[in-house]
Amino acid sequence: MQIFESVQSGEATPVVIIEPHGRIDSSTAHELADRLTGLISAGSPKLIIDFREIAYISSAGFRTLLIAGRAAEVVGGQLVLCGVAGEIRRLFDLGAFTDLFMICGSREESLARLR
Amino acid sequence: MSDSAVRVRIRNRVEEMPVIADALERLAIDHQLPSAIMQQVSVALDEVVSNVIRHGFPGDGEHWIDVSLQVAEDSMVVEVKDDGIPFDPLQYRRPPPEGTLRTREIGGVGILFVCALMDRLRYRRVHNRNILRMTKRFTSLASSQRA
Repeated sequence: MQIFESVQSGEATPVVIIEPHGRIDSSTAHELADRLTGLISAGSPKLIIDFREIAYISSAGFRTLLIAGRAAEVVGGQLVLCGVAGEIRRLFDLGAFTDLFMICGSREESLARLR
Repeated sequence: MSDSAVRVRIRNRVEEMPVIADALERLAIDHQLPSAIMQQVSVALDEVVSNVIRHGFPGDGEHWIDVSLQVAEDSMVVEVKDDGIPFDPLQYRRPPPEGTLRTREIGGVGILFVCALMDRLRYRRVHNRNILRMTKRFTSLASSQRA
């Protein structure tokens, strides 16, 4: 898995957009977890994860999202998701994760939600 | 098994799991499997093998996990064999945990994913080995979307 990152500054708290590419599974989820917890503990708890380049996500990935989402919320931030479609969307529904996260249709909408 | 069967053997280490995912990806490309099938089987296999690695060997030590991937005309059959403690995942299916982002239990959906994504699961314990055989029918794609 590769993780691309960009920052939208200009606000009091910058918004960081994370775009992982590839699989989020048992052997890669820790890479995403490390990145997210690193950002949150470094004072960037407003995060967007764009799922459009994700091949698939297993329960290990959902565990990471849950932990990071909770950690962001505790320090006044939020984890917003976008690009969640097809089979990935179906897994969100199957696992009853859909209502736990703010899921937006696009990055622009995600940014608007965090501002 | 036909010539389209692929066998992969890994040790009980999460770091070795990409070997299985890579083999499945190659097989899917070779057989031009729909990406939805590839994603569903990948997730199910990740859940099953990671469960075996995490819970199957309380005494630790080095063990082997054998995975076979077989593509037929209308389905794909995946078999996972290990010599861990007896574990029939079908006995542990339950609805997803309830709660909010703050309160919900972390985890608890792996077996649910396996049961929902695959069409047929058969567990056997043979000669001190767990054998889980999972079948994914290609024609089930549309109907399984309703799950």
